[in-house]
Amino acid sequence: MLVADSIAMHFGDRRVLSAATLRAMPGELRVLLGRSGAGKSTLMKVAAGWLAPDSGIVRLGDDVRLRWSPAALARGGVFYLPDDGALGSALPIRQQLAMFAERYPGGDAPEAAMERLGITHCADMPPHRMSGGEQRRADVAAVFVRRPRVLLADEPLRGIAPIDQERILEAFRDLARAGAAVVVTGHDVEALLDGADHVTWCTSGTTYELGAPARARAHEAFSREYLGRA
Amino acid sequence: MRARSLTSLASQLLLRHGLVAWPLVRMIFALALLMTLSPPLPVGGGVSLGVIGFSVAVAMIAISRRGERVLLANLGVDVAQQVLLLALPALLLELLLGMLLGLIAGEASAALSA
Repeated sequence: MLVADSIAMHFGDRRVLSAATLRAMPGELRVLLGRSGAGKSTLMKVAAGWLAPDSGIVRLGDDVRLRWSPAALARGGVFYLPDDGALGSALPIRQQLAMFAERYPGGDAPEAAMERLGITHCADMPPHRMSGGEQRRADVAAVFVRRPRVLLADEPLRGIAPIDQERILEAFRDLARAGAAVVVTGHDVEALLDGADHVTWCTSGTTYELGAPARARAHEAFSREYLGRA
Repeated sequence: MRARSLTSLASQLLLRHGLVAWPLVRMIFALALLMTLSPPLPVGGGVSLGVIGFSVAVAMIAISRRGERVLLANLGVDVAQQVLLLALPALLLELLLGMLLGLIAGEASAALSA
């Protein structure tokens, strides 16, 4: 379990988060929703060790720290998938997946992961030669080779075709069913709510645990202020 | 990512970056020194440390530009480990260059005295 608890964060004069909490729970696919600029990506970066918060703690299992390095969290089983991709742009996908297989034995074989995500034909290409959807699927293939305990995916469905979105969400659901804690952000609300076990709403610098998607849809303030329904 | 995994794929990636950065930095140093009419290939403590430092900086920029920071972090490679592996080729090449230039200077003075 990974918890970024009571996180406060500011950039210059702007306070982005005042008391936000992100929880990644084993066996659950959680979605973190909120308007642009609400602080979702900032909270994900704090949880992944890429930003040091003004206050708050990050807890991985029983290990509580004020400040983690991304590599230390990664060694503890966290995989961070940023919105611009987790793989380098220059090396072929096969080579990058082989790095994960070598470093973290026990996950899916690179070939099997590429086949699962339907990117076998891209194996010898660097990501910059692939389409946006293929790049995202390559990132997810790396997740399956790594088989992390916790996956933090920041807007993994952005700008890709619905069929790719479905494939990626299905892969995340498989990962959660296998016991991993998965947290996903994004604005593809219907797709995300359909696949999620739990919804967290990030707004006004804080977070609200809304529970299952059905409860979230019925939440008055969430419906009115985020979903845009009367 | 200890010494046992110096041959790992992630380490090889970093060593390659370090290997590419060193000649580039040496060339820039040489050009800058030639423009000031100084010998283009000085070696020794301060200069070599400067070259190693710049090589690491150039390699870190390359890693950032190629989007490999997240890849390396997800592989569990700390920034300190990255710096160490990036500096290693520059360190060895500086030592080799020093030895080579020493050898050439020795040969030249032997030829002159003969």
